[in-house]
Amino acid sequence: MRGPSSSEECGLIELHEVSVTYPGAERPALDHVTLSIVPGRTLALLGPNGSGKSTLARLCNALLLPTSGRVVVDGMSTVDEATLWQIRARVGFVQQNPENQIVGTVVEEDVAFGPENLGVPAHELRSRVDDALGAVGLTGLERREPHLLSEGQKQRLAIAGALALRPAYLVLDEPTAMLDGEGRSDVLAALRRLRAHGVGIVHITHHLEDVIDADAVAVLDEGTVAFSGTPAELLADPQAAETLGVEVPAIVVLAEALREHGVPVPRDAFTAESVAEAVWRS
Amino acid sequence: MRIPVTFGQYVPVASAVHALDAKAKMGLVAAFTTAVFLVEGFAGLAVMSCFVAAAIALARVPAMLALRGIKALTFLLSFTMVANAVRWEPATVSLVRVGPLALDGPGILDGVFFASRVVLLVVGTSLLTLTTTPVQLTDGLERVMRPLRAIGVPAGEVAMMLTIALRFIPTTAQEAEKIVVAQTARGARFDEGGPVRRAKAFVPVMVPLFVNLFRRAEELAVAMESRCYRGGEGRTRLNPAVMGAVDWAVLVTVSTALIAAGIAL
Ligand SMILES: Nc1ncnc2c1ncn2[C@@H]1O[C@H](COP(=O)(O)OP(=O)(O)OP(=O)(O)O)[C@@H](O)[C@H]1O
Ligand SMILES: [Mg+2]
Repeated sequence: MRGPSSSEECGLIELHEVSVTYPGAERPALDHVTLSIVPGRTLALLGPNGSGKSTLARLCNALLLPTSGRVVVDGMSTVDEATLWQIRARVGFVQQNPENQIVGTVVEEDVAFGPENLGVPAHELRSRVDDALGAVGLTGLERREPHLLSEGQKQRLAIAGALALRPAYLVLDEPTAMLDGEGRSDVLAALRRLRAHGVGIVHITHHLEDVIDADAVAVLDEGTVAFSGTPAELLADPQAAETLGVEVPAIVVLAEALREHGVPVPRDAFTAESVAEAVWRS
Repeated sequence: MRIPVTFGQYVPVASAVHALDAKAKMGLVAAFTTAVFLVEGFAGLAVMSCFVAAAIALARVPAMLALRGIKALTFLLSFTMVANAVRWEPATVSLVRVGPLALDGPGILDGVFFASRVVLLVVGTSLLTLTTTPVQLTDGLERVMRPLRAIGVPAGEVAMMLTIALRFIPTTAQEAEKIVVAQTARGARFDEGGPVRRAKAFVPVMVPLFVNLFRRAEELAVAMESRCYRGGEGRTRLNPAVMGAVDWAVLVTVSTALIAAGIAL
């Protein structure tokens, strides 16, 4: 999957000094947030409940407009009515519960829903559907009814539905929260493939281990960016990460304990494989 | 307790009637209905019955399924029979007379005639739902309703609504089943007592079900908006159902024959 050629123009989603205050709320849900989302990179968004992650996600495809500040997608401001549908086509959005995002009565028709709305001609619809299903590994299930899919397959179908619009970016709000181990690793693998194909990904999650290979991590806290850096930088100080409400992966805790016992586990070993390798070598 | 996830009446077999485009079938149902109303005597009804019997045979659906619809109409049928058979102060000789009400030979024939008409309509129409999937029906409906957009009927939106309803029927049924199991585990009984008690037992099922449905609707709206849904206008279709030459030929010849028979007989 590749985004449209225009992603070269000014390929970036930029949030500039963005604040959002919901009507009737006393404090802003987002408070002067500045972030950018780059094609081909994954930005992991962490933070405790109510810290403003979903609010930020909704800003990216103009489901929500900022109270102040600007959100600009490839040069188009989200407040501009004229480019609204271009922005929506460019920024795919996937929610937590796959069941409630599937519109079609069979898999292929659900995937086609987005491009159908854009008026894409029938012959091109077919190739878009095939590409999108291929990208998430659901080829062969075209005629399956959605309620007969596993939860992991449903979430990958939801991702395919977004991909059929050929987006340059994909914003996923806790896409693995309702999945079991296997469904989760399938979704994560699909996301890694998409990144390799140049899609810019915003992955909101409560589990750092899901996004340990992200290019960048931002931790939100009460509507502000409390941390911004790489996963390694975040985990360089596990205690500080914990105080930000980040759940430090068990493997990192284990690596830390091993180091305390004199096993030379490198500080950037964040996966079971790399830790096991270090233990094996010592 | 099991809530079936399959619904509707569609019989998945391959037949010439199944293969016919949904719009052609809808047109045929309309022509058939008109013909049945045009028919004035038992000869006409006999011809229409032959047509229905032939269609059932061609559709390869069990005749019992096609006839099942009649059972639900027992009351309506009895009412049609009685209302037509009984005369108010008839001039002719009557078989039975209760005050001003009388039952006579021509009256009974009328009753049988009108009741047969209803039976024919029900069986003929049910062939449409027996041989067409709900999705094909919805798509066909959208196309058939499209001219009504001129008078403000949102054909595309109505079709989308029906499609979504169809999409969520199995999901909602599965969810209802889960809730029923959960409530049963806590001691709720759904199979005891009279109708009122049974209905009451379902209140704790319906409430969470509806709460979930509203949440679903909200998330679905977000998902649809994110995927650029902005009404039926200008949408294309992955699998457009198009009327082929055969569909047109069948529609035109069979409708003409039906209506001609209706006028003649
Ligand atoms: N539609 C809304 N109307 C009013 N307030 C809202 C609305 N949506 C969210 N909020 C409030 O804004 C704040 C941020 O909410 P948000 O949903 O963005 O948090 P979150 O980080 O996604 O949390 P979670 O991890 O629970 O999903 C919260 O205080 C929440 O109560
Ligand atoms: Mg959230």
